[in-house]
Amino acid sequence: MKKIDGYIKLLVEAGKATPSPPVGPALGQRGVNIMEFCKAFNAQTAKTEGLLPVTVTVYADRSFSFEVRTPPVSYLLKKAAKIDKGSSEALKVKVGKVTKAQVEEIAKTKLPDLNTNDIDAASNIIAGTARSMGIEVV
Amino acid sequence: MDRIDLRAKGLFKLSQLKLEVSEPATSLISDYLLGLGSLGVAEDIKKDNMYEVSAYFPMETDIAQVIANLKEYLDILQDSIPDVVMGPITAVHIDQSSWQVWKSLLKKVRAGKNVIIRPPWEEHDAQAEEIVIEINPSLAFGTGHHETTRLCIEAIEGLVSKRDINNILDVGCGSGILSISAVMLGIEDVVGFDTDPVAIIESRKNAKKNGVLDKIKFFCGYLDSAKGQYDLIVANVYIEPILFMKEELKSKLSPGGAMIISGIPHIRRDEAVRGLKLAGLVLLDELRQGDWVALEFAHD
Repeated sequence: MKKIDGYIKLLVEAGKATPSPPVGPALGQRGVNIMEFCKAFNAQTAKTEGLLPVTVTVYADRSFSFEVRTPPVSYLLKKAAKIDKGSSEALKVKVGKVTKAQVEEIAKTKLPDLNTNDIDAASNIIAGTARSMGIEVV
Repeated sequence: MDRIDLRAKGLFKLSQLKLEVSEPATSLISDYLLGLGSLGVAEDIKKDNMYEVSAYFPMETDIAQVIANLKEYLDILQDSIPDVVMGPITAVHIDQSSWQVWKSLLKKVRAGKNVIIRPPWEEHDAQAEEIVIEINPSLAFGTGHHETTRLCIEAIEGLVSKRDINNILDVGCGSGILSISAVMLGIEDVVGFDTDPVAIIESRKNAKKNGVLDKIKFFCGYLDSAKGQYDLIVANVYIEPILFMKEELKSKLSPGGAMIISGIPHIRRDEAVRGLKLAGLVLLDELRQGDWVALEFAHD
């Protein structure tokens, strides 16, 4: 009888969840067993890397479940372009470059979250995001 | 998007920004706040299709600027989503003490007359008749902190004190709390199943912790895999699967057996009784806590 009380969305580094923010405040204030979440999240993401979006579902008796999604496109693009942040004037100021192969690699990673099985369509979405961040696709 | 290493900086204070919004805008606002540098966002379900969105920011964040950006975004959403409802934005500072409360929110609880459910960090000196069960609140429903779990335990306890029950089937066992309670209340043959493999892992862990793993058969699967008939069936699941499984549940109930159905909000009690009556079951007793009921049925 899993009555849902709420959802918590977090960005947590793969394999490195700790009771400090953001996990502690978001889960702790709702009475979720922080240590159990950290253990389960770290076990599930031990072989992954980077910041991962995770949605925690909290049930009425404070038990919980969670779903890990793939890293945000902007994060993967910044990593591929080796830059810290996107351009504030994307059309005028370019801050980095990624190759088409890198775009396709990111598209493959993000396929489960992009509502498509078409790698070309997914690559177009990734390339569009890159341009909006001032990253050139070469 | 890059995370600040708060531990390294010794920062354990945060700004918490809150607002209530109606459902269609909730996840858009959460994603937007994460994009503005929030460390985490929570969406708590409120009444009337509303959610309270709470976002946590490092103390050094210019919250006035965040609020200004958010207001602009809310204007865009209000123009593009019909009938969206939004409350005012509030901001407060919180420190470590406000999120270290989780253990105090998960205290030991009593179910029925004599069953005490405690988390691993709480001790309990058992009195003469008391049975103490340790459940680690985790990835499966059944921590003892919901009325329906406690109602089921109360019902099992009541039935065990009145008659001989040789076996029990726990439908949707979650954390295993009802199966473990059944063993500790004296039922010898206990079977629990769940469709969620995580629940079975948690059930086994909890049963092991309570020293009763060898006395319960847990399996991941569906009702049709439970062989034979049972003197007691307990199902603390939603009303919809109960009604869907009603004929099969009845076929698994021994002649003279009892079936406890919970997970039923009080306002849907009559619907459950009507549905199970159609399957040839008759209501014998019922328990209520808050907005929830547990119903005891037998063969008509």
